[in-house]
Amino acid sequence: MHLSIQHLTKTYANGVTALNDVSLEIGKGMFGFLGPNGAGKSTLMKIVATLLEPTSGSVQFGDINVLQQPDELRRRLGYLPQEFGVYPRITPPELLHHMAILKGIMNKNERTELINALLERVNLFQHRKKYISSFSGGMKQRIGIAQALLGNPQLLIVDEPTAGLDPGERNRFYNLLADIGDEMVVILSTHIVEDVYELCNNMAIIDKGKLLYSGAPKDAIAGLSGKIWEKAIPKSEVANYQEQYHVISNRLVAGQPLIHVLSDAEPGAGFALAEADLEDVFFSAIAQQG
Amino acid sequence: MLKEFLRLELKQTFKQPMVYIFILINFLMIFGAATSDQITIGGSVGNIHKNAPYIVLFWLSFMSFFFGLLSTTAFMNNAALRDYNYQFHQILFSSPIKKGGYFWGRFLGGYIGAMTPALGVFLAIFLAPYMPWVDAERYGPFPMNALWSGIVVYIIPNFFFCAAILYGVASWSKSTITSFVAAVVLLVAYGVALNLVSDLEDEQLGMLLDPFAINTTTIVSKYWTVQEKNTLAVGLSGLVLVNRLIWMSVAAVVLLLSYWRFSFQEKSRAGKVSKKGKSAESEQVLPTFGNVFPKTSHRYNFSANLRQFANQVKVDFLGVVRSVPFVVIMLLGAFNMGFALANAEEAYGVTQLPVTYNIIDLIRGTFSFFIFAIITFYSGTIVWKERDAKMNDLYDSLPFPGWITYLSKYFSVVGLVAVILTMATAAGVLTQALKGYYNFQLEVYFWSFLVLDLLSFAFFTAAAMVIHTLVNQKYLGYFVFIVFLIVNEFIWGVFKIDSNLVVFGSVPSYTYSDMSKWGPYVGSLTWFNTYWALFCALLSVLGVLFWVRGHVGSFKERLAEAGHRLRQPAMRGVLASLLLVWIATASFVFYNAEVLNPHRHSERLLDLLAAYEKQYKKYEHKAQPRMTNLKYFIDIYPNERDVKARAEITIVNKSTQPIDSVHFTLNGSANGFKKQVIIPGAKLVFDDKKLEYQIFRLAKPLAPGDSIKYQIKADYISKGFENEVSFNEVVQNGSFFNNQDLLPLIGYQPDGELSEKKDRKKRGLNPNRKRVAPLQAPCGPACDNTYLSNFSDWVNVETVISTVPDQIAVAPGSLLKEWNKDGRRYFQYRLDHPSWNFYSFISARYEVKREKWQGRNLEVYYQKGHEYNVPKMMKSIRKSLEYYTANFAPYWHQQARIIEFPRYASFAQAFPGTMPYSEGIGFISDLKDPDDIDMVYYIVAHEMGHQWWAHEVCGGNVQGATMLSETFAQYSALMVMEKEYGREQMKKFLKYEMDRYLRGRGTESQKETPLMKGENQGYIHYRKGSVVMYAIRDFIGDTAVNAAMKSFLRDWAYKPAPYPTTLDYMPYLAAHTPDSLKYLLKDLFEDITLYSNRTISAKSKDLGKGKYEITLQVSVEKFKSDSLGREIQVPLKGDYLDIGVMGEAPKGKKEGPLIYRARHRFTKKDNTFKIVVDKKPAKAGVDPYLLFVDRIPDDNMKKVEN
Repeated sequence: MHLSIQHLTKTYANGVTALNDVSLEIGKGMFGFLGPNGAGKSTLMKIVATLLEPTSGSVQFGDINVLQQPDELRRRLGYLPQEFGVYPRITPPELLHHMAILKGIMNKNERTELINALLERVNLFQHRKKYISSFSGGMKQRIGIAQALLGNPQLLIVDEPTAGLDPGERNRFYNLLADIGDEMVVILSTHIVEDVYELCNNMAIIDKGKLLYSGAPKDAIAGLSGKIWEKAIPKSEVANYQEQYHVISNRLVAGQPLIHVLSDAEPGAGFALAEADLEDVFFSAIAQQG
Repeated sequence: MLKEFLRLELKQTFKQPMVYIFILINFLMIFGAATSDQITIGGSVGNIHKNAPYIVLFWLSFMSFFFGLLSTTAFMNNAALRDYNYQFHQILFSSPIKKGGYFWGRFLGGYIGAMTPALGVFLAIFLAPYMPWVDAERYGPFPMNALWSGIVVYIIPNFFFCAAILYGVASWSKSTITSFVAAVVLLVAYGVALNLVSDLEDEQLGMLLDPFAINTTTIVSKYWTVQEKNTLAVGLSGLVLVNRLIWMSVAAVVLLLSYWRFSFQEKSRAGKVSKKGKSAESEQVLPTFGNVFPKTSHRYNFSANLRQFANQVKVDFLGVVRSVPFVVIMLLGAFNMGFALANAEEAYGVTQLPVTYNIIDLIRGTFSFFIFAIITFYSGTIVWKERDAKMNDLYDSLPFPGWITYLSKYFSVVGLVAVILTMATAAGVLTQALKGYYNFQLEVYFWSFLVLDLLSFAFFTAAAMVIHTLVNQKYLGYFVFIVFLIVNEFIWGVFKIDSNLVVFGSVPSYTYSDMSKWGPYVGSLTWFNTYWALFCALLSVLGVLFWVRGHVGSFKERLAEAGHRLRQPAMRGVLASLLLVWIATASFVFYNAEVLNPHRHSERLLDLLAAYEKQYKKYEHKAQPRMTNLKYFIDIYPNERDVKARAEITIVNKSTQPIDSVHFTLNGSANGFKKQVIIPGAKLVFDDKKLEYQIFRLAKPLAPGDSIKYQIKADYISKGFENEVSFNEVVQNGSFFNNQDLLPLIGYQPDGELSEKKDRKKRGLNPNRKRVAPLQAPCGPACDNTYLSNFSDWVNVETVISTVPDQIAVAPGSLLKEWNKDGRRYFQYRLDHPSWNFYSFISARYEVKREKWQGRNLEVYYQKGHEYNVPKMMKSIRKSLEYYTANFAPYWHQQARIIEFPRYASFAQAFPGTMPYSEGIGFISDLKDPDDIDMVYYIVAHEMGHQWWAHEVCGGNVQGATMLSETFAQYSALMVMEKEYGREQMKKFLKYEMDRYLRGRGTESQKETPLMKGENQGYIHYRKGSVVMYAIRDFIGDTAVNAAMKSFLRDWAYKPAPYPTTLDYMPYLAAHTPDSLKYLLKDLFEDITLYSNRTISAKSKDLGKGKYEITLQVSVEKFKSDSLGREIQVPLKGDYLDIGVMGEAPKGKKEGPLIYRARHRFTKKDNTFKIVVDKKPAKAGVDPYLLFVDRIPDDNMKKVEN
């Protein structure tokens, strides 16, 4: 199974171009989408999830033309949107049974077995008699992943799945993803660099609707090795440095700004060579785009 | 701070389109009512101006209640919850603002905003008289007093009341839904208050209990005359003021309480839940990873789709049923319904047996509103369910076909309605059982509720669903649907369209009858329901095509998407075949309802009547022969709903000149009879097919005194089915039509002339049509006719009538012969004594109860199962015959029969010897309570009275004619009733009569007349007639009244024309009236006289030995009223009135017996009496029996103070 996105462009009615000629090839395993808020990740994912018509371009999954045969794709899809709710006054098994039926799992015994397994797997079995509306954010997110996994999907789309989760929950969530990620195409979008680094063997960086980078995280980091320089500077100097150097990031370390600068050679006095990480990849890609 | 928030709130309020939309709706509604005749809110009739203060106040009261709720719900909710809904509260409340300023500022802003839409009403009232198409005559001066009154009595207080409660609820619950529910609670509370006041006894309590004061003011103005309605406005005084103060205080308390409870802290409930969630979280144990989930098989075929559909219905349906608002609305509906079911009554405080169709009508009356509310609310909620829950992304990416969502949502709303209707059935059956009635007729419930009503609701649900889908904006969707409902209700009338093929969701109206079941309606109902069901299926296809899945933007994109969906062959197949079946059905229905049975809009019918009057009125006084002998041959085919009739008629020239041609008004289109006149040797020289007027020239002129015979044929052949069943007088069981239905009438018939001023004016007729000729002596040619007919006098009638073997057919007179031939049952009847040309023909499957009285046959023909009151009817016939033959004159018929007919009409009618009596009244009256007025006994006695008053003597066709029949029949019934039930019952009866007379005056369309000059006005000849006759009887005694009656009959019964007038009658009564009381004849019969009798104070002193002295101060004033209700006070010239004292009420009774009654002469307003009684007095005062018309009867008697 292989997802192929070709020249995808989406311009909304208000004139905003959310995606601009994006092409990507995604194979089995975990694929990470990295980009700041509003970069166009969700738009891309909604198009792949058949929820949005692109302005132009095509999406192919295996031999399915996603835009022409949305139902064919939906039969193979597991989707966890960035933000979602559920019906009021419904319990996890009720919801999952309903969604499983809508996914075509008609055999009641199979369904029950699957749902119990999923609920066990996401640790909600003991809460199965409560209304989902009373769940915490993490529990709700686990319901989300459970429903996405109903019916053994071949394509799993998870959009910003860890937003709002505490670190423990986040870890558990990734463990689950890592477990199942080998057998299907998994697309994960996030604005957190570590997520991609920890989980994905392939990634893309996207900003303002444009694809800035795609490839393996390792390769990207390797490409920057020896080019990232760091220096701790006083706060008042930040603006100066930004004018003079190609500053890609600026963060506080113990209250003092630490800037990273992209440069093939040592940019100047006081700079030290830094070990490039994925964050530098991300920021340099965005910074270059301008 | 307060000012700042108020300013902010107002600014935000006036930025919303809602305010302007509400102003516009208000404007359009009232403007429509104030400038057209199609839309009526508040009932401005006849002489009441379209902008009369009374009408304007009604509008404002209605507006302040209905719109008060709607608009305060919207605005107060907004004011209280805006900051929460936009999640702004955390920021706002952490800033240093004061609670008071925030709370009150928001409240005031919302309150003022909510009241603003009233401006639309004012504007409409102001503009209406200036519109070019209105008739300036129908408007009075700008009703400033009503406007002010409306503002202080209704708008300010009612909006405040709603605003306080809804703001309170919203700021307490922080939930939109809860405040919606609160609005519904208010609505129902109002319904309950309405029900409370409907019982006369609880009036005062009801006036105070009504939180919107609408009934309070209605009661204050209930006896207003036309003149008063045109000039006065209810002000802020008396009980109205008390009511307003009570409810303003309630509102203030609610508001203060919610202020006290209000705080900027987050409502704690949400927090609790999430904490609980967290703690549950921490208990969990990290599992070991097992990689493989159980394998599943997937199916995507049609049977899987059906299962998916069913499951979605289940989920949506359960989602609603489990929700609090639904449960609350249901409870309220049940409460409201229960209240109505417990308190249903018929008339004069009498209840009916809880027969199934009555229960169904009652439930419909109270429940339809709730069901419409549920359809409106939940179709929006369910369409938006996934999106509101933010679940749409999850949901829309699942692999099921789009139609499943749309149809399952549709059917879950319909399912809700079905559940409610099933519950209504259960409630109905329970009510019947609780009232001890066990003939449940479940099939009637089933067809009425679960088929016909459910279908009708399903049609509107289909419309709601497709509107929400197309509009694709939740609140706008609600708005569009409500506008759709209103437009569908009113717009067609404007275009004079009444076809059920056009008016959305409309099917023929029908009445279930125990006699003929759904008989005549089955065809029309089946086909129109099929037609609309198919139409709604088409609408649903549209809905499926446009249903939003995923994220779509512009309408163009949606259109493209719909086109894409339409390219699926299955979708196209469904659409094409539905369209085909629908077109075929529509054509078939059109052929039946419009081609086979063309029908006219009621306005077009009026056009025809006007044309008839314009063209043929000139013949009104042309001498025409009169019928003397009629022989009918009538074949009734109940199952086919056909009648084939012919008659041989003898006509005589009773005029003084020869008659060369005979005119006929065929009048067949009104009921569908095809009529034909065959006069041997005569030539049809004029034939107006449209207006159905024919003129025959006789072979040779008919000389005075000569007669000829001719034949008529009249067939009613029903074909296919109709748009509305037009003639339900021929049905499967219970055919009942009269001779005028099938006879071509001789000469011009003025009965059908338009009476409403506006209708006449619009069609170029003189708007001021005289209802009848004026009363004068000598009477002149007007008295050559009675008001029953203008082409016959006393006639002989013989009938051969046939029907199916299991039915009995009845015609006037004695049964001479009965036989069977060719599988049909034949009867031959003949009148025993010449009678008016006014009688009926009847056929049904009857049970017959027979008795003999002095050799005469007393018979009651009734539907099996309706035997409850048959003995009572029999007894009333007997007692009436006894009283009337003893006191009035002999009875000339050999039979007196009561015959039940289906409840398509609710009346009883007297024909010679035969009295058809509707299934809907009397037969199912519940007479178990001995304190209730015996309606059955009364109505039978009244109809029996007509055997003398109308059928032995009938007034000439001038003013006052109905006094000689209706008023006297009423008097006769009073006498028979009093003999059986005693004087106290009569007092109760007369109180109702007085009430109905006083109300009737206020809705008079032309002018109120004195009793003697009545122009067929029911409130005068029945209601005032009872009061007047009872008073005169109390003063001169029944012997004297009856003696006058008897001598009048002796001189006038069965006499040829000229027929008597009230002027002919009065001397008989005067002859039996002492001179000292002659003023009463003038006051009661010749004038409109009203008293204002009042007891100022009543004090009692215990004299010991069981004696009490009462000092009584009473005030007596007398007025004469003109025809519009303008009153002039007249001096008392020694008028006699009773002074009375009532003793203490025995247990279980409301009033004690009269222990003292004496007649006094009054010459001045203020009078003091000292009375000694030998029982403990409870109440004392003037005119205790309410003998005289008094607009405030309740203050006649006052509680005695010790």
